[in-house]
Amino acid sequence: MSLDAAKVLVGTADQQSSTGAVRSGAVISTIPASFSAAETTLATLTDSGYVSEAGVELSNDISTTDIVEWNRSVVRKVLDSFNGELKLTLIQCDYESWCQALGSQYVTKSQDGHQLTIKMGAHLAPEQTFAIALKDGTSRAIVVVPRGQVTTLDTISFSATEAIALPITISCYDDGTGNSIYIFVDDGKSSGSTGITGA
Amino acid sequence: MSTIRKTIDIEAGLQALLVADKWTACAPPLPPTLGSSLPLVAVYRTGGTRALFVQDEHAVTFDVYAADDAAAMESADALTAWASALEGRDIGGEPCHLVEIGALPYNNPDPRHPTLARASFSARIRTRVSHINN
Repeated sequence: MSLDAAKVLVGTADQQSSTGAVRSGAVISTIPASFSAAETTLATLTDSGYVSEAGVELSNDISTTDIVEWNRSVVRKVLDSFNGELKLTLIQCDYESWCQALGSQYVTKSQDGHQLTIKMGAHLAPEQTFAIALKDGTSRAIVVVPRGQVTTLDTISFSATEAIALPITISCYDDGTGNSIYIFVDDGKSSGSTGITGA
Repeated sequence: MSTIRKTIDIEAGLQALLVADKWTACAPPLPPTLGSSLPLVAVYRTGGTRALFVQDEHAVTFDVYAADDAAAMESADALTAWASALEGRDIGGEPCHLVEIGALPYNNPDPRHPTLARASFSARIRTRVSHINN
């Protein structure tokens, strides 16, 4: 493999003035199998606006148990569990962001759309499909979580010197095929590449 | 194959974008006809760092020349909004990843041009480096 710095990518958000990079919606029934299919999925989801400068952190935690032989050497590791998570902080205080964090049944909007009522309590957000759009020049990536659920809404600070932010953790569940997270990458040079997302 | 990672000419890149967005702009040097078309934006790179393997952070100063202080400040304020919206656009052929406005616009008279007003502000602009294949 040759050294090619052009393939060292930075994870900047693929967002436009009217479209954020983190999207969510009802759980999809068809798992995308290609970059173009992932784009189609992306277009069906609702965006949540600005995310904090820390971006999105994807953790892929595989825990194992050691099998140790009589003389104390590890001879094998067996899989205990897989825990995939996305962590990010929503900083746009609007209907879509609160719905992404809590679920639409806990957020109501006035008829004119200018007032929100947010209900917090001992309940989890519903399962949703999440997608994150990334780009660096002509290269693009889409992270798709077919079955995700916000399982942590961390401390919300109301302070005069920082944005009201919703730090959420999205737990990523098995989609029925043994996978929880899909990452689709396009270097922008394929004949099927479309360049910038126009959703 | 290997690639050389070259810093982009951010002054020329920003000037081209400014002109495309209907600003009157120059990269150094100032035009000899300074004052004939105002406001005029001059872009200077004052330094920067290679922030990542493939990303440079350019320290950039924007100078706005106008007929009086108020006009210079008003244009400089508008220009901060323009600069803040650079994220995601290409500058000199490479994507802009991040813009942070440093010093907000301030009156900064230019002793070489005492009949004009000048307002200045600074920004730190992260762009991808330019890749040249060997």
